[in-house]
Amino acid sequence: MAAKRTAPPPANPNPNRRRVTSAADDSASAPPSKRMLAFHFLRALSRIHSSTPVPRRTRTIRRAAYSSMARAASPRSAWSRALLRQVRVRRAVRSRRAVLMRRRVSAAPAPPLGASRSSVSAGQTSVAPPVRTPPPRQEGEPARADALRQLIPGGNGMEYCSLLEETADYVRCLRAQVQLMQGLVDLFSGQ
Amino acid sequence: MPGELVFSLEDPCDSAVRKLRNIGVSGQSEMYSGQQSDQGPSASSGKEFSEVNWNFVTMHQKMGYNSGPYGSGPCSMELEERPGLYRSSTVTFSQNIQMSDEHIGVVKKRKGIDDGVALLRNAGDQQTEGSSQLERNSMEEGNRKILLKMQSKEDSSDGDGTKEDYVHVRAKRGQATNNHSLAERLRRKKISERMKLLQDLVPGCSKITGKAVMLDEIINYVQSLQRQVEFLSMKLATVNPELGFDIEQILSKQMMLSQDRHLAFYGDDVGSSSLVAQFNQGIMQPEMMCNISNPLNVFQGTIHEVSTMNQIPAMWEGLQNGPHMNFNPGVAADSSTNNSGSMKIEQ
Repeated sequence: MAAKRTAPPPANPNPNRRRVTSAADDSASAPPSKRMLAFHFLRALSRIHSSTPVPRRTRTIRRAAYSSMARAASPRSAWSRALLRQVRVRRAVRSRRAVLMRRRVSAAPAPPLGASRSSVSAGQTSVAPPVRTPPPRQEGEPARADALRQLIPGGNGMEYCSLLEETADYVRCLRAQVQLMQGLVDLFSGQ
Repeated sequence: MPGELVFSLEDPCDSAVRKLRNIGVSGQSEMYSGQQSDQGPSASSGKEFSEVNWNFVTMHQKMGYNSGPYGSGPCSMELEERPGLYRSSTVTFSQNIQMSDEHIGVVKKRKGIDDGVALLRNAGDQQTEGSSQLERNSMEEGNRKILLKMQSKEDSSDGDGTKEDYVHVRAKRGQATNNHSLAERLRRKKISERMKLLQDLVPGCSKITGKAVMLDEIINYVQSLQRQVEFLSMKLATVNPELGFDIEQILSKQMMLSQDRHLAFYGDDVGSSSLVAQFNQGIMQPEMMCNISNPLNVFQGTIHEVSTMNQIPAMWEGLQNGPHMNFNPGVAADSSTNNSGSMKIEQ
């Protein structure tokens, strides 16, 4: 182990390498930077493990995975922006709900309960991201394209053409994220 | 407004515009002198004109791609705008020019309108309408009309129209060169390009031809990836990480120094100084206490960067000439000096 630590590092010009990968975009999208993925995800993971209780961790980790993916991806892709928007909205909703719950607890029981509940639901609907009706411009495949739109975050507002491009970027990022998580699982369970 | 889009692309093309204009001018004079039934010279000049236009137009294409985010929206708008212009101006020009269905998209430029307008005015005063439209749309109508005449004159034996819409769409023989079909063809080409990209991404799809099946495959693949993420997150939730998670600090240090751009963009709230301060201790302690090197060995196969993170301290000394980090377990004792040193690096 000591030998491993002091062994000469693999040739790794870190700053240059990362710059190169981040600057290497084609007209299509650049492959996601694995460092950024690992960074964001590991940070979120550590935070989750220290804070969240066990029963709801899976959901939180999954959300952290998507958020870290969105952050690591180039902001030029629409899906990453849509994902981050979702996160923000969710956080806003949650904070609103927390505030209203607190109000509900502190106030008198029956009427404010109804009021808070309705306001919570109203708040949810109002804060919910504006649902964009799918632009009926597709001459491609309407049926299956809708399924794709539901899969890709933010896919509802896109044309078919850009949907395909976003899909490509999304698949690349998703694949990198899956590889990262798989590696982590192996790491942790290999101990 | 499509006009604005055109404007941005104007400058690099000046020389080409002038070249185009020159040839256009000569061609037109030829037309005037010749008769309208004369097919020969105009045909040849038309061909060479189209050659020139092709070169010029490829340059345009590159720039068109640079203005990528605008997508095909504004371009298709421009396409639709054209027929009206064509009809009004070509009718006034000469009688045996076949009408708008034969039109060829030409390079859109703002400059060079003057020449075109002048030529038009020479031809007749019915041009006023056309010229006003020219000015209104600020496109190089003169050249376009010249090109139109050229190419409509030639019997289009090669059936080629060099359509120009910031992207090349070459009409094959016998295909309609309508505006709408142009846009359609462009769009289809884009879609097929992207499907090809996706085909490379999705494993096991190299043999599939056909958009429908391909799309199904893509959807399946995305769904399976998402399911995998779900499954792995469940696994990660149950598995307890035994690393001191100072690896995260190591990673963040790396991120900080070599990818400021990304972080700056996202306005990340990671405090760099605190991480830097804990950097040295962070590295040493987990490695001593948590017996990390073994798992990181495993890690090395799967995730490359974390294994390199393991060897950061050694590399760090190589990378930075500043402070000296002694790579021995006793470094935690020197935290103060190391901190100051690394703070110096930061600035």
